Amino acid sequence: MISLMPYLPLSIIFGIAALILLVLFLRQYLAMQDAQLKANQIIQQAQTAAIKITATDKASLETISRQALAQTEQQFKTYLQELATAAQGSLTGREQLIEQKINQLFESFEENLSSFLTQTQQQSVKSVELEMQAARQLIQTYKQQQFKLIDENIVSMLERTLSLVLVKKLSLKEQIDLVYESLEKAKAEKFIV
Amino acid sequence: MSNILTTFLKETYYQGQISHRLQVLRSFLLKHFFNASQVQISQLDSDWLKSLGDDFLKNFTQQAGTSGSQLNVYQVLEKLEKDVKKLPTLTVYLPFEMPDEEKNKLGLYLRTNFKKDLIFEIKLDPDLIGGAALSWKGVHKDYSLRERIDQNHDKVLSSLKSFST
Repeated sequence: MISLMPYLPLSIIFGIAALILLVLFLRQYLAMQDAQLKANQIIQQAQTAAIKITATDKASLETISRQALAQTEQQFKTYLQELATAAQGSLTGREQLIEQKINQLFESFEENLSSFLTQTQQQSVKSVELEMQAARQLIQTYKQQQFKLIDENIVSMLERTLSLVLVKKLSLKEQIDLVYESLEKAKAEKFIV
Repeated sequence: MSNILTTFLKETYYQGQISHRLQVLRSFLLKHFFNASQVQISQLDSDWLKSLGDDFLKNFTQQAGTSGSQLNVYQVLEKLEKDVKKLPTLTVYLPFEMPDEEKNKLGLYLRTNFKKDLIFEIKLDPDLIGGAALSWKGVHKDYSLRERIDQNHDKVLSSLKSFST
């Protein structure tokens, strides 16, 4: 062909070349279409297969889920029953313990109250006794003071009476004799040194 | 104690008497030396002045001696008054008024039995019951019946109570 080229007109050469390129293009295009078609078929097959598999798996999964759920429910129920039983047992024990504690508390309270009342009573009695004793002592002291005061007054009255009476009743000589008697006593005591 | 003071106190015993006699002596001497006093001297006081003796009056002169050893009448009287004030005084508390005559007797008794230069004063204490209370140099003691009653307080009281029961 190359050897003919110098002899063929340029337009023909270009026409042939274009034709060849067109043929090549078409061929390529058809190949691409074919590949596209095949790819679509493969994708469709794969989708179909996938749908099948998915459907199968979904059914299986549902079955498994149902079974697991049922099992879990059963276990939970059992657990709840155990828990309720345990709670019931614990509650009963607690109630007994609380009752016991309350009883102990009441007993202790009664004892403490009784002790406190006894103690208070004793203290009250003791306090009253002390008050009575103090009052008696106060009365006694007051009586003694009053008696002492009366005694003092009696003596004071006696002295005053004697003072008034003796001044009038004693003669001058008797008065003077008493003065010398006092002076004799002072002399005996060496009052004036 | 000076002779003048001894002679002055010979028959003078208590405070009122001392004051009065000092006044009498002063009046007498001023009249005697200066004819200055117009006070009338009673017979009793005149007798007392005579009892002092002539020698006592010789202690007083109108003027002081030139040597300063002899004092004039004013100076002697002043000294006498000071000396009298220095003497300790016994205070006698009595429940009655004692006549002057008895005071002189009492003074004589005190000088005989206690101190020969003792002077005293009498104070009236109506609360005393017979007897006397004495004060000497700041110490007071009741020697009357009141003190005896106080000392025998309980006995007196029990005696009185025995009458009531």
